[in-house]
Amino acid sequence: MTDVQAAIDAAPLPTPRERRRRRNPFIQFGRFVALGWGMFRLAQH
Amino acid sequence: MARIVVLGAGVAGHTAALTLKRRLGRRHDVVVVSPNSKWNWIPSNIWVGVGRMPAKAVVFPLAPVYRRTGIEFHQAKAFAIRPDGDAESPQGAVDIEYTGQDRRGEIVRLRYDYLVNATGPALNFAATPGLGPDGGHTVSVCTPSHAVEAAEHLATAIGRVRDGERLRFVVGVGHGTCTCEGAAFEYAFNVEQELERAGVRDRAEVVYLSNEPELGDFGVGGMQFGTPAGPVDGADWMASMFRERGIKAVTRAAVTAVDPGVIHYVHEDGAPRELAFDFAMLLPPFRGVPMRAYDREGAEITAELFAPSGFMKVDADYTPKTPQEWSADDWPSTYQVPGRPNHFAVGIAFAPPHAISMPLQTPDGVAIAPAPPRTGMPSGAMGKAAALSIADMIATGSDVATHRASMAELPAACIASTGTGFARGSAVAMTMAPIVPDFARRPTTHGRDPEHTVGEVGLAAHWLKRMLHTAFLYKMKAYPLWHLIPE
Repeated sequence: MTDVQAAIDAAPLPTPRERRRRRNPFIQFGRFVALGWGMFRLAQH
Repeated sequence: MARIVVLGAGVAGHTAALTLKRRLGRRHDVVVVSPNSKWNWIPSNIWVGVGRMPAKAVVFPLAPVYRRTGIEFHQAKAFAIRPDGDAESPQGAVDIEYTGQDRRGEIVRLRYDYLVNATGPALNFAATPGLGPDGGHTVSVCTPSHAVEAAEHLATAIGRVRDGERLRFVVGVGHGTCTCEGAAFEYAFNVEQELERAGVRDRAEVVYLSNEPELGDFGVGGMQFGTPAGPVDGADWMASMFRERGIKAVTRAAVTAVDPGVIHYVHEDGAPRELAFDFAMLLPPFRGVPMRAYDREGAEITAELFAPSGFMKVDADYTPKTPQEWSADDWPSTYQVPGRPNHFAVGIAFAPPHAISMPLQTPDGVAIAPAPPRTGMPSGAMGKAAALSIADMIATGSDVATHRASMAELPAACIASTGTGFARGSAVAMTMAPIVPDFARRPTTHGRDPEHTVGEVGLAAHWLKRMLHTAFLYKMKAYPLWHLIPE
C-alpha cells in the first residue's frame, strides 16, 4: 500500500495489561462514569 | 410578534427551533421547513449499516414533536431566499416546495423576520463518477435507507466469504474533498468486527481509504492526545489501532472514479492508481443544498450570499490565504450573514473560511483536502447560539448577536465506535479543545489545550456512545427537561 501502511505495520500493539483494562467491566464502569462526566462538563463549557 | 423561519431540521436546525420556542413561547412564531418528515440520529447509522440496529431506532417523526411544542412545521424544501423581500413586501421571504403533508409539489412563499439556514448538506455523489448507491457501485451510510442497503450488501459479501471466497472490503471517502472521515473510520472498524463475529476474518481484507493527510486527522488537522498511558501523537495512536485490528489503510487519496469492482484514485503525485474491491462503502463529498437568492427586484444575488460550494457566507474572513496564513480568527462566531443581521447560517450550511487539515493537490489540480467537519456537537452549539442571539435581538430590538460559538473556541467530544455489543463493544472517546487549533495561542501543544484534548479506547466509550444515542433522541424529542442535556 503506502507509507501509512508501513507506519501501521511498525506501530506498537497495546500491552496485554492495556487490553485487559479496556475490557474489564469494573474498570470500564469507572471509566464510563469519569468519561461521561468529563464530556458533560466539556459540553457545558 | 416576530416570525422566525428555520430551514432544516437536523442537529443544528432542530436545536435552534426548540431553543427558540422555549425562549420565545407563544409570543412569537417559530417555523421549521424541512424536506424530511423524520429526524435522524446520524451517528448511529453505522450500526444500521452493519445490521446491528434497526433503521427505526435512529429516527422519529418530526411532526408530533413540533405539534406538541407549538412549532409550525412545513415538510418542504426551500429553493429561493429573498432576504430583502419582494415587490409586495420588504419583509424577507423564502420560497418552498412541499415534499409531503399531502401538498407534494405545492409552492409557497413564507415571510419571516429572522431566518436560520440550517439545511445541512446535499450528498454530492455526482462529484465522483460511479460513486454511491443510486446508479453507482458503492454503498453509503449517510441516511437510514442507505445504511439498510449497506447492511444488506455487507451480509451478502460476508455470505460469500463464508462460502470460501477471499474478498476485499474497502471503507472510506469517495472524493478528495470529503469530510466526516470519522464516520468512515467507525464503519471500517464495525465491518471488521462483523467479519470477526462471522468467523471469516482470515479470508477478508479490510482497507480504509481516506483523503486525510495522515491517520487520525479526521479533517481537524489531527490531534496530540493525552491518554491513560501518557501523551501520544494521534497518527501513532490510530496506527496502533489499525494494526491491532488488522485493517490496512491508504491515506492522502482522492477517489476520481469508481467502476464495478475497481476504485480509481490519485495521491498528490497525480499518478493514477487502482484498488479492487468486493464491497465498498465510500462517503460522498458535501455541497450546499441547491438554493438561490434574489433581491426585491428579482435580480439574482446568490453569489453575494453563498460561496461557490453552495454554503452560506457568514461572519468569517473569506480572504484567500495560504495555510501558513490561516488564523483561528478567520472562523465565524455569530453566524450572522454579513449586511443582513437577521439572517444566520449554522451547522454544515455555513461556508467555512478554509480547511483545518493541510490541503494537498495533484499537479493537475485534483484537491486532496478534507473539508472541515461541522456536524454533531458544534452544530448543536451553533444552532443554540443563533437561537439565543435571535431571542435577545427580538427582546432588545438590537441587530447585534449576543451569543457566540466559534469553532476556534468550541470544544468537541467525539466517540468513534470500533465495534458494538454490550460486552464486546469498543470505541474511541476523544475530546478536543478547541476544534480549530490555535497555533498562535498554543504553539507547543498542536494548537489545543492539552488538558481537554484527550483520548481513550475501551468498552466504556462504547457504553457512552450508546447512552448518547438514547440521550440525544430524548433531547430531540423535546421530552421533559430536554434542555438540560447539553449539545
